[in-house]
Amino acid sequence: MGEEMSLKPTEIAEAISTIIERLAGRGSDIVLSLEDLTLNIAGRSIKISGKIRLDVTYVRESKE
Amino acid sequence: MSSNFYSFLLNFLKMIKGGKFSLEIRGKSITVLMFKENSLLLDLRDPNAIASLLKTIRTRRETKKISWYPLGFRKIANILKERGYTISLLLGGKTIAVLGEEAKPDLLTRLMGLESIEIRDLKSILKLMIYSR
Repeated sequence: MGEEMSLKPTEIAEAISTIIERLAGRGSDIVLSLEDLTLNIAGRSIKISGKIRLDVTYVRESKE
Repeated sequence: MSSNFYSFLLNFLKMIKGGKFSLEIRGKSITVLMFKENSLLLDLRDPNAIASLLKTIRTRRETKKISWYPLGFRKIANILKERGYTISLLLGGKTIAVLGEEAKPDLLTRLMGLESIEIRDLKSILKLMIYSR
């Protein structure tokens, strides 16, 4: 069945960078929505709602 | 990924007791995660978009193969079962597989050594696997 996936943190970062690079300049926007997300941390209940919008733009480094 | 990573992820999931998380790209719903006590419904709304993301990741690892079906699923499902957690995999709102505690595997799945996986729609699972190749 093949080799199992194993990603190192640097490879994960590289993958995220690639995704952002590919989305950039295409007018892509990513919206993460949280609706009544309830977390139980150390016996305390925390409820989170809201939206995170990521507008990905690409800025080329100027050659001087 | 290592069992430690899965355990860490599961500990995090177990902290979430309810609610909904969704991901949209360019106004299109890609994935929706619905959390309940000890269970998660993972609805893949746009398998094409998910496959594109997986392919993007893969291009950086051209020299290494990523073939995590079904070994990765088996490992995840077994850890989920041990910890009493269930992940239901949905494709466009329809349940195609159940992993972990509430999975009811049929005889064939058991014979394949996938004791903690219930396959409800093999055709959709295969389609999803082909998309992400």
